[in-house]
Amino acid sequence: MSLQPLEPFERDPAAIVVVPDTEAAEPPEAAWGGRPAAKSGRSGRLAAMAAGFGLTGLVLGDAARRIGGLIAESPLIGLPLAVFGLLFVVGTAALALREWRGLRQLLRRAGLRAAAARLVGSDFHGEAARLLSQIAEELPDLPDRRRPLAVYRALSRPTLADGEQLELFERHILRPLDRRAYRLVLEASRDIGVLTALSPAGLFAGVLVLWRTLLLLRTIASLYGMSPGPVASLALFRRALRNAVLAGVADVATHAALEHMGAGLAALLSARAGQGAGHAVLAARLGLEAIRLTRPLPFIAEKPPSLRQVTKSLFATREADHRP
Amino acid sequence: MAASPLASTLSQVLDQAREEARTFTRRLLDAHLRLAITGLRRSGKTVFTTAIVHHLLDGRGLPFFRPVHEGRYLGARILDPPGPPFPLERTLRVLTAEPPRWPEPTRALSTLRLELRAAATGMTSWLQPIRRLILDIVDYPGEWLLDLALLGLDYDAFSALALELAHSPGRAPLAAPFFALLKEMTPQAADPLFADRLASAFVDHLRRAQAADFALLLPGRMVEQEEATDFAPFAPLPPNLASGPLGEIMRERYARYRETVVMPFYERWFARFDRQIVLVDLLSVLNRGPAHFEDTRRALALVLENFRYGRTSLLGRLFAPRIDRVLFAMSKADHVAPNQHANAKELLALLIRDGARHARLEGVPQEVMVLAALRSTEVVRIEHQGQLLSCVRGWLVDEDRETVLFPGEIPHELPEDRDWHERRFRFRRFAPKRLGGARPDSHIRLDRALDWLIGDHL
Repeated sequence: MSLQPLEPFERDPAAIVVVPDTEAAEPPEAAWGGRPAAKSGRSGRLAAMAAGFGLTGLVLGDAARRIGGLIAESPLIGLPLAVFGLLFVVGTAALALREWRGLRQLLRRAGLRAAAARLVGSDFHGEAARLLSQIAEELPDLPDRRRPLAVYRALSRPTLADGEQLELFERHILRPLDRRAYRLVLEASRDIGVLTALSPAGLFAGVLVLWRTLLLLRTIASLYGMSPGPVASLALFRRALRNAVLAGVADVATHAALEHMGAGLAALLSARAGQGAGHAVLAARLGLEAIRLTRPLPFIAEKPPSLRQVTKSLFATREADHRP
Repeated sequence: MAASPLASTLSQVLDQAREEARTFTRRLLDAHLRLAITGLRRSGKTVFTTAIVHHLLDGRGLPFFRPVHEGRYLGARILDPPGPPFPLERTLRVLTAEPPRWPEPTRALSTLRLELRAAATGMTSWLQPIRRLILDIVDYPGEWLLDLALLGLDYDAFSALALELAHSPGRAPLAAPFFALLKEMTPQAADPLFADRLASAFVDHLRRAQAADFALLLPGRMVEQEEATDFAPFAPLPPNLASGPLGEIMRERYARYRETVVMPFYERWFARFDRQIVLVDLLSVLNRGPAHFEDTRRALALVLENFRYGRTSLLGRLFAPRIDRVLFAMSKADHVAPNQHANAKELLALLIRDGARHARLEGVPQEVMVLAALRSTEVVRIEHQGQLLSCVRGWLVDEDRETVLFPGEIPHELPEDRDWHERRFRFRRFAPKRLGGARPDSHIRLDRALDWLIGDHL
């Protein structure tokens, strides 16, 4: 049985109590449509974690017992060892906690993006405000972000549908960040190309490329308000690599082929320069994927930067061409 | 010394030729658009026209209009209109007055020409750093639009349609005097006075239908008193009368009306549009009930059949322009709370489904939108019977008082007849808010509409 629609009514403006719209301040979980779906292997992972914690507990317990014995036998050796052990455990735990938070941030960001993707183009009202308020809190409070935020707030109004709110947020808040992220990708790709070309040995070049790529991914993540540690950066790297391979095989192949045509000439002159061009393109691809993975919204009205743009800018000389 | 008539005529011809050459050049450069602001009576065409001109001249308050949000928009200016001028000053004066009022309904065709400028982007920006667009807008009484339906109907088809409409449940009582007179007529009646009497009774019935807010009034311009003197009025006849001398008289008058009134209007203005917005006052239609919903649906379908849609080549743009992008918009969206807009959009899509078919078949991109060119209300949330409801607060035009209104829930599909009782909807007419600075909250989606209609040309 369907509900009867509410009949029209009028109220005297002087006699009503206006209820403020507090939706934006409410916790976002209800509006997200849930966190990212639980993976099928979640129970297995929980079991593995429990086993890991248990084993760690056993090791720590055994170490504590042994150190306790050592203190009893020889306090001069035992006490410093105990202090060192304690510092080690606390440091490791802090590091693990930070990494765990970094990994959680990655998952959480994916959840935000999934929730936003559901609202793209939506004509309904009421969900975007809470989601965007959550996203705005997570973005870094850079001084040059305050003006776009003020403009966004001035333009945002209750008559905008959820899809429109998202679009407005993307245009005013994320667009400047996207531009900076694009420049980071460009700079890192160029660095990698040059480092590879100048490095004396292949292994050394590989290490340099890996280090610079990880640095790029971390910088992009920070730009979008995340603070991944080394493990989370590696996780980001892994995901970016996977996406680059899965989603962009054709793209990479096309552009790599194009670049190889260009790089082929260079390779005749210098094999190292050709290798540098290849590394730069790969780093650009990973950087672009990192933008997609760390950006709190999917690309809606804005065009995502493409590998073609980066490669074109990489080998262009005009500064104007560096804009996405 | 006064110029001779020959010199004056020659000068006029030269001016016209010069203007045509300018237009031709602009269209060759793809820098000229003719925008059809289409809508039945009281759909908000004049206010829409005034609001877009106001915002384009100001250049602010349009965050979803691409050239503005990309920071490329340089501004606009008004040029000499291609036809009778749109009374912009008058409409702006009443909308910016204190207290503001809605402009008077349009009684004649008027035109407006704007030049818009924006910094160019893309590969040709070095060649032409500033992009110019000439935008022609035509405003006209909604009744005139209905006459376009006559273009596809000969006299017999018109008679069949007009009589069917007059017999329809909501209109039959209004047409009773006309039918009574029709019964008195014999096929042999050949006196033009009979024809005049019958036509007069028919026009009276149309005016009564107009007063009862029916939309499909054919022929539209016969409803207007002052226009009725420009042509001999006519009336539909059933087949038995149409085949006699009276039918010959009516047939001849109908043909003349089409040739002298409808065709020039169509060829001069309506056959040359590039873009179109179809404004629909959905809320008034809902207020009036299912018969009016069907009436409006049919009126829109008949009218829109006569526009030329399709993608065009450069030569097509120059010599046989077609509408290559359409926007169907519910006007007066501010008369309901924003959380009802999604349903209103779906219902509008249902209302224009038949009307949009012609354009759809030609592959023309379409968009459906819910907008308000000028807001007249604000949204308030109040508690009612234990639930929080979004209502609108505004100044009622008819009662000259402020109110907070919950006008009913707009369904996403047409309600069943049994659900469509008289207490289902109560959409009221609100006075406009003053059209001051071009703020984004002074309208709803006017910028999105502009972006869809002309954004790609700037």
